[in-house]
Order: sequence, then C-alpha cells, then structure tokens
Amino acid sequence: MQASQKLLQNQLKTMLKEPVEGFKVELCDDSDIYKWRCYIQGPPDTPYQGGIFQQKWSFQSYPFEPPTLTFTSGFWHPNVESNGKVCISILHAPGEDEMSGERPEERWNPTQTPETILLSIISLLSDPNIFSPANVDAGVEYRDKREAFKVRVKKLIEKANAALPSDFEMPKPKKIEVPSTPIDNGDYDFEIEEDDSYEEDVEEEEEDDLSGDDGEDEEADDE
Amino acid sequence: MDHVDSSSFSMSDYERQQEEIESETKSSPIVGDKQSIESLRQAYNPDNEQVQKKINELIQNYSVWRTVRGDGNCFIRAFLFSVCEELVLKKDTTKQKHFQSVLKNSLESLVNLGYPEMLLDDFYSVLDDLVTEIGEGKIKSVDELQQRFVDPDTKDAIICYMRFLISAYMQLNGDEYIPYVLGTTDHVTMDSYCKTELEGMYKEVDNIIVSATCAACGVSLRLECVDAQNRDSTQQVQTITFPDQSEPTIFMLYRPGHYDILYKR
Repeated sequence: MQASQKLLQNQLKTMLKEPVEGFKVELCDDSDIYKWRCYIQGPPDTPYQGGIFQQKWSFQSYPFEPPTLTFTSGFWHPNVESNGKVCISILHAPGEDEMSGERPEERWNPTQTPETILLSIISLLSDPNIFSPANVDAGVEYRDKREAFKVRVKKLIEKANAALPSDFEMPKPKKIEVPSTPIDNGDYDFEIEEDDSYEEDVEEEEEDDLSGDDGEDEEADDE
Repeated sequence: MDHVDSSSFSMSDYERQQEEIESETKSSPIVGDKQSIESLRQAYNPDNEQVQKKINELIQNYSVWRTVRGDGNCFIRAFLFSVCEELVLKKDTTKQKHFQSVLKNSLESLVNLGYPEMLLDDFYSVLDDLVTEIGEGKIKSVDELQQRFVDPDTKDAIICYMRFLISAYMQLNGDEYIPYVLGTTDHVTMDSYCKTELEGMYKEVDNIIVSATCAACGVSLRLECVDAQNRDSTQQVQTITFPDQSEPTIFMLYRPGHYDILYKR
C-alpha cells in the first residue's frame, strides 16, 4: 500500500471518530481513498447559514501537494471559481500565484491536514477575501450589493439542501471545548448576576485559571 | 520566466508555456545516470565562448556529472543523493551513524518546536529506513540507491523530511541566519521564512538554505557556478565552498536556478 493511502486512511479515521462541528466527511467511493465528499454546514451569521453544501476533495499528490476542493452544487462566493473550485491560500503551494495578495505563511506544506483545511473553510465562509477574488462578480456583489448577494445565496441554499441524501445527518462532535457556562466549584464567586458580556466572563475565567493555587490572595481581597 | 514582461503575454500563452515547462520537467529523470561532462557542452551554443571556456575549466577537475530533475527540489535531492552515495561507496559506519543521529535529533527538535510528530514521523521513517538499509548493506550499489531515489514511495518523502530537518536547524540557529534573511528577503521572522521558502515542496532554495543544509548535516560542499557572465578573474568558474575554507566531500554544478551533481577526477 502506498504511504499516502495509509496516511489518508488514518486521517479519515480520525475525522470520523472526532468530527469537526459543522462538517461531515466520507469517501465518494469506498474503494478510492483519494476522493472524499465533504458536507459543510453554512456557519451562523453568514449568508450561508441554513445550508448544507457538498464538496468533492481530490487528494492526488497528498501530502506533498494540496488537494483540490470543488463545490458540487452551485456556489456563490468571492473566493470560489464559477466552476466550484475553492481558492484559498492553504490550498496553494508556496510561490504559486505570487500576485494574489495571500499571506505567504498560510500556504500549503506537507504538515497540513484535512482538519486544518476545514478550519480554513470556516474562515473562508465567514470572512471572504474580496481583495483577491477568484469570482470577480461575486466579489463586487459581496462588497457593493450585499442584499442581492444574500438573495442569490439563499436560492443556492435551497438547491444544496434539496440535493442532500434523504437519510443525511450531521454528526455531533463529541468533544466540547469551551463550556458554555462557568463551572461553579464553590471556590470562587462569579458575579454573573450583573449580566456581564460574555467576553468579560471569559477574561475573568482566564485570570482565575492563571492564578492557579494563589486563590488565597483573592479570598483575602474578597474579605 | 520571472523576468519576462508579463503585459506582452496573454494568459493562454503564459499557461501554455507553463505546461510546456512542466511536461519537459516531468520527462527528465528524477536522478539521472552518470555521464561524461562533455555532454554538458551540448546544452550550450558552441559559439558561446564564455560558457565553453568555463566548461573547459570544469573538465580539468571533473570528468563526470549526474543530472537531477529541475522541479524545485533539485538542490536538496542532489545533496541527499551525494551524501547517501558516499555512505554506499565508502561504507563508513561512523559517518552513517552520524547522519542517522542528525535525522533522529532533528525529529526531536521539530516536535519541540511544535510540529505534529505523527505526520512528520511518516517522512522521517522513510529516510531513516533508507540510511539504515545502507548501513546494513542492503543497498549495496549506487544503482540500487538510484532506484530507491526514484521509487514513488520514497522520492517525495525523503525530500520532504530534509526540508523540515533544515527548517528545524535554521529555527534553532536563528541568530546566525536572521541577518541574511532580513538582508535579502521580505521576511522578518525565521518562522515565516522557513514556512514559505523551505517547507513547501518544489520550492527552489536560496544560498542561505544551501549553507544551512551543509551546517545541519555536517557536510562540506563545493559549488561550481557556470553562467554566461564574464568574470574579471583568471578563473572563470566561480567556486563557493560551504562551510567556507572547509575540505569538500561533495560537489555540485550550479547554473542559475539549477543544481546537478559533479564527480571529481
């Protein structure tokens, strides 16, 4: 078995065991490890919210060259070509396409994985790069006519969802990294009744974590 | 290619040319056979006196050369092949053990620098196995070594690991290299330099990386530079040795943008 087949099989196994929230990956055809299908849930607070889009991933010379990612139903995004091909910097080799304005450190290298690609897709959908559009029309519409852009994407959401298999289900991620509410273990009093913003809560939590065993100081302050 | 005025080109011309270059590159051997240095002449116009003079000079010191595919990996591939070839021919156990410990230490350094061990280990083990097999006498001849260098399961992994090995060395010895990086590139950190200029496959390397490769592996290299320029010196071929003043054990021919292997008379 080729080394790249073994590597991809391991990575597929990891992704099936620990799915990334909002994504599902599978093989297009069980006999071909080099072709993956990826379902992508449109991230909240983006025009793509509510849609589940399908992509084909083709790993020809992985990991030495990046895979190609192509949306299989129509897609409208400044950094996706009209044929569905995704143009993001980590899918380009260093030195390729120097004029694109992409930052060099985000380029492909053989330690990138399907998981790092997924993280880049989230950022692609949430924050299009309109300075180097692969689809200029979509870039201009996103910049100047956001409402028209949203209407167009809405139609594509309906089309994409209609193309889903009838038994389709998004996997639930097993790991939840950030607890939604601070765990009160009785050591500290969180003043949550004042309804601080979420960010302030997080900051407070971090400070407490950093102080570690120095809890005594804080107790002294409290008194 | 970089110096051609792109405005006079339509995109399809450019793409066609890129495809031509690509197919030409792919038809040349990854590591070629040894051949007489006279064949180097054929690559040049016989009327080009400047270059012919330089080739005459080369012939005094070198009889044979070996081509390496010009796919951006040529320096690293030529370097690694020469190092392994010496191990195969001289059967020097101390040198073999030393190179193997360089490999092992670099993997530890990379993990300490935060690189994913699981992924790097796949590339590392391919190169480590190769060097082990040389040490155990399983790879007995240079022909067998050449076979391994073009084997689909080996050819990319070993180059890939060398790139990370050099990257780790440069990052750990950043003080030494950062002045050159700041002086000759747009990068302001070693990290961004290594990620962009070194770690990706098919990226041509510059002199800073050539120097670091020799230092990282404890190998002395001499480059013989042949270009079309007239030098204001009795010796027309410019010679550079890494590290400076050392006694070289491997030799390469450098023509702008490309490296091949040379063999001393």
